Amino acid sequence: MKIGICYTLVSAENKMLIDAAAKRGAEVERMLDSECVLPVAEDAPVRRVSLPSVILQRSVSFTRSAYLTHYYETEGAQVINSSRSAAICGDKMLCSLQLSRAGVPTPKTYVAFTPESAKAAAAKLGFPLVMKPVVGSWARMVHRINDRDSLDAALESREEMGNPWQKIYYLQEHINKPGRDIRAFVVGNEVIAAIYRHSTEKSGWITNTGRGGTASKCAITPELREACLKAVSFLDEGIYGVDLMESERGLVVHEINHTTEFRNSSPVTGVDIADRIMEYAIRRAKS
Amino acid sequence: MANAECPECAGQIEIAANAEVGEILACPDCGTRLEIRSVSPPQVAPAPKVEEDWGE
Repeated sequence: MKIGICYTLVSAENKMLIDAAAKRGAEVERMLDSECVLPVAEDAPVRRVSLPSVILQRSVSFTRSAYLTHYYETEGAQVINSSRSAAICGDKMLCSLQLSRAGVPTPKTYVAFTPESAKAAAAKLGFPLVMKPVVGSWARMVHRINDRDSLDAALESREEMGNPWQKIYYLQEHINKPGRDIRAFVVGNEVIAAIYRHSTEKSGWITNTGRGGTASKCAITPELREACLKAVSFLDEGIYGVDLMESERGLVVHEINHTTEFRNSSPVTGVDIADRIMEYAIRRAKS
Repeated sequence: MANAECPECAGQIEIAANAEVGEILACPDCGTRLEIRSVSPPQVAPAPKVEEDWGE
């Protein structure tokens, strides 16, 4: 049994996955994305590469992982998560659109392509609002915009950036969350663990643990389970980190992460998330 | 345990026996983020910078 792990860096999560595979007697093929040379087209006959039957896609680069996953799938490997799912989860507009159309409670969201149209979108939402890049993670460039002056400054900054993704203006309703949000882990069709992510003086209004937020255990209530499973219902079965906020209208889902991190979550939940992921990958490889 | 040399300050960096290529370390002398490029022989290089499309 060989499980591929495709990665950019050996993060804490990837080491935990490698250890989990060893404990389960599964061989790991390390697939460092920076070293990959993909034989996309060669002289006939095309040489088929030998790949693990299941590959866990853990590359931190959304762009590299998109190409790699597409390639691996074309060569017949099962990739977790699939290219289709990653494309949706990795783009906040696509994800919000799918959440909304699937009837999953999610914050009101508008997307615009110029500063002028972004201001029109802001007028629909009112202040405060949240502006995020459509591609990106770890709460980078995620701004709470409290008034028109702040919006003007943020839009001007974004216009000066070279990356065209930064000129896609994703504006979202600000949810007055109680100093915390929820990250729930879905493996296959099961919600295996959940944490509260608390904002701190260091993290400011943001709750991301990589930015100084702290984690504590969150009970998996029937409401939380239902919201998470509905949130991933339009995605291919896989491994997801679903982000939710507690609002006056109940739980709302604002993001789904397709290469979810969990280094801070296993200790506080008591769930060996790496082992659950590896168990699932092995099951998929046998199916 | 083997040692690699920091490319920035020539400090000695311990590479654990279970280290993996691609693992990120900080030089204990100068704090530079380093990526393990080889375990045997032990070699490190400055870690790649976080790109805009990196994340989870």
